[in-house]
Amino acid sequence: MMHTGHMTEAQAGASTSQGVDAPAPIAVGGLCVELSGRKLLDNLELRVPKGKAVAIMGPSGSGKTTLLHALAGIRSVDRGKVVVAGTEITGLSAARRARHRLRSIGLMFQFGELIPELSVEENVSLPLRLLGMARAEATRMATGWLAKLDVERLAREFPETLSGGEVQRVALARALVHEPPVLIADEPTGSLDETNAQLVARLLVDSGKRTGAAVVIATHDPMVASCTDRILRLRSGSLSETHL
Amino acid sequence: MITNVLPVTVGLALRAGARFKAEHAWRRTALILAGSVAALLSVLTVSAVELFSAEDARESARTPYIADSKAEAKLYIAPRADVWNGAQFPVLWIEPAEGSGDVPIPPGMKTMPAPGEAVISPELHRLAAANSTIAARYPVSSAVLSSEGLKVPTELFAYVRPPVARSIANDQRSHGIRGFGAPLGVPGSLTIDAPNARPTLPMLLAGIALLAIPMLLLSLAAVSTVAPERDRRMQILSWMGWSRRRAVSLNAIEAMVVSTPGILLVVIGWYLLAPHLTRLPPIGRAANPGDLSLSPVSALLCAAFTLTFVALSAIATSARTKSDRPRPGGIQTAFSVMRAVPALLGTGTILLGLVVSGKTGGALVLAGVVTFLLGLPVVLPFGVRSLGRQIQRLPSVVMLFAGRTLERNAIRSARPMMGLVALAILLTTGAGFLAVVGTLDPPPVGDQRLVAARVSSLAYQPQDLVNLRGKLPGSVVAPYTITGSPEGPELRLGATCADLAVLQIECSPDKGLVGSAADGIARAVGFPPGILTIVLGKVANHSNGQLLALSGPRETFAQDVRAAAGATLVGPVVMTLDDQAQVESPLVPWLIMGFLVGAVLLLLAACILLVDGVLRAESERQLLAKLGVPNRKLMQIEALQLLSSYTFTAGIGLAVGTVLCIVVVLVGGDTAIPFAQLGRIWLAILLIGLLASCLGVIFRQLLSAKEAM
Repeated sequence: MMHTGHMTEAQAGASTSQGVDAPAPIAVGGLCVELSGRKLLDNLELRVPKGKAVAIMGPSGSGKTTLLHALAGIRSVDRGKVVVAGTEITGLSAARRARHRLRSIGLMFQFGELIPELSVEENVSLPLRLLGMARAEATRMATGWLAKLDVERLAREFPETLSGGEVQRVALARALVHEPPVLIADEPTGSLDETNAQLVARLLVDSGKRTGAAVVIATHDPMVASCTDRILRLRSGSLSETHL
Repeated sequence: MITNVLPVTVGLALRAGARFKAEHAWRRTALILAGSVAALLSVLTVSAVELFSAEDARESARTPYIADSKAEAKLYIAPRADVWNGAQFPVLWIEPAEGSGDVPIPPGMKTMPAPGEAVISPELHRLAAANSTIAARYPVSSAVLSSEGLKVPTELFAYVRPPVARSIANDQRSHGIRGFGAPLGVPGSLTIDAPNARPTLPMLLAGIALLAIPMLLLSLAAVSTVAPERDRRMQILSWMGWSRRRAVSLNAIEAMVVSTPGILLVVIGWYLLAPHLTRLPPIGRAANPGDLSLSPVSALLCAAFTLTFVALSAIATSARTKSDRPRPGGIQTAFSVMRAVPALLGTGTILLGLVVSGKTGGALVLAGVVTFLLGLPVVLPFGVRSLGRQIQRLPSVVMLFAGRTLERNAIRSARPMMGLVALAILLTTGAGFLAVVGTLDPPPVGDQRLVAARVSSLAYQPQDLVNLRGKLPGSVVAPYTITGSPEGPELRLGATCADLAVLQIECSPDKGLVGSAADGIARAVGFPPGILTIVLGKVANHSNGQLLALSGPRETFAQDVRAAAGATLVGPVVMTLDDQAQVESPLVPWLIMGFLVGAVLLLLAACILLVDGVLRAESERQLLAKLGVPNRKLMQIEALQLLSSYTFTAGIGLAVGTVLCIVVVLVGGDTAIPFAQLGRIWLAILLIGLLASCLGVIFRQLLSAKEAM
């Protein structure tokens, strides 16, 4: 089932208030990040409830990637609180943030970032293997996700033989295979043509909904943003509601 | 909770190590080469230690226990020396104690030689067969010692038993002994060889400077090959939730996996080959079969050590990778004083070594050189960056591109040159060290009209003097003693002016010998001219057999005296002025070989770094080519980048090395600065750089042509 439009402000408010009652998988408060004396994120607030998708838009250099990295725990923050999947990650060491990321977050990037040495199937099963699952079971689940995303036939291929759209679908399978409560995607369609971009964006949002994950997508593409429940614009270090 | 980390990491490492693209083949080649060379150095080092240990054990086996009393003595031994080709070698005079039924036999000897006979080492036997003067002292018919009795298979060594009716038992220079196998250098043992003091600290420092640092550089160069791809893999894994430690360990395992075949091949090959070798390569030191053998445990430890070394190199190069995605335009690292600390510390230590005298000063200079070499790669890129800033100001688009690349990618630009810089420093400093250790004091120049030899013997009898005189016609042989007096040391020579008249030298019955003849005799007995008074007269209490043999100019005098003494005296030692010449330190061949091996390692590292530099710059080249920059322009940019960074870094290396060479020479004492050698090294390094830069440009062209196909 495809989601075809963005939510109204009333709907967005409803989902936000719903998030207050049930703990949201992503809850950020007063987040500040500075780089070389320049405030990239300034007292930023964000809540993304379970099963909802949020698009972050903004010009290049506005801090979208920095925000996603802060949510994923890839980088530390200067001030503020970042709670992801029930864990306050700002106080954690880099190693503990990495462990948390492995368990609770699925990540997608503009160029897929598959491990070139591993086959498609191995790339997808990697998070499960690292979480302790036996190889056969991990492969079975990976194959299942590849089938859901219609790339099962590529299971034995290596990344360098795939097209851009195929790479992104495999990357999506890898991000979802361990059914994380949070899915973060940084320009996931940036390297794709319009058809593939729409396909991948819908798969991303729908898969998140199916697994109940909170999805955050940084994008320049209005079409991709339109697939999400809520669109926020990052400007001067803080987020504001926007419409296409 | 994470249980699959190890198998997943190893599996991924195996995959990473087994990729088939051209650059991965290059990485594999570099890693296998570095691993194999490190393994070879490792097994050679362990084999050298095994060899020293075996030599020490054999030396200990032939070291006598001194008897506490005459009654306990089973054998008498008097360590004496002979000379061949300017080098002394030990000759042990042995005589079974009277009434002792259980005479200990030295190791390597089947039976005690008969009176007047010798048992000699195989090398001495070979010499005797080829040289009549040696054969006169050690007949070819002598029994030959087996390898258990020799410290080194090629050493010159002999046991000689006095003839019938001559005994060394009562000579004060002989020792009653109760057996063999005493530990070396402990009270109660008799030292029969030169003391076995190995200069541990200088050898360790030289080993670090000549082998460990070049090997480290080679290893770091190999593990850094195709590093951007490895760094990208680390980044993706880090984003996926791998901890940094785990991602780094993946790199370490991958480097180990790739280098393992080479390491195993070398270690197993050496393990099988070493027991049969009779020379330690590359130094060529003689060894008995089995001396160089590795035990299975040692072989395993060598392999484990080398793998650990490769892994640590991979970890060291992974540690500096940033986890954030690199921004376009390269990473600018700020210069801080902390980065210059190792180089400054090295400089300070060298200066301190110049102030402190003696061996400590020399060790400090060497330690300073090592520290400086380790610190140089950290500061050099900042110099390259400054150079880039200057070049890009010049009015040409070629200058702009070349300068900007040097500025923005200073570390990458300086890396390929690091091996050659280290080579420049190593060779120039090495020229200084070799000048110091290779400068030998010439023998003292004596009076051209007089040659003299000191002769001493055991169990001296007055008839010995008569016999020796009989064997040396045309010469003067006389006893002498040296005594102290308020006017200074005095040598009393038991000869008259009439005896000396045959030599046509100035002589006065009242004043004794003066002038050049006196100086010649003084030098012959180890005194500088002008200090020793030489008087003529009867020598009282002459029981220690100290004789002086004097002759007019005669080239074969030393040989003649040795032959005569060998035929007439017991335990003779003959010393001439030529024997006072300084002989080369046994460390010199090790040092020369160390410099050669170090230079080869650095050249290999330089090759790997250069090829990797070309591979890494390919994407930039393609970008410029896509923009329409003509091929000729591209070549100019590349040549300028390579040549300017090379000229700059090699210039620094040569300047630093030359200063270090001068420092070493100044510390080393009375040695001339080897300007000719330095000039040749400068020329060689500059030519190598020019050649490397040309090859670099050609390689890039070939690579681009291949990509375009």
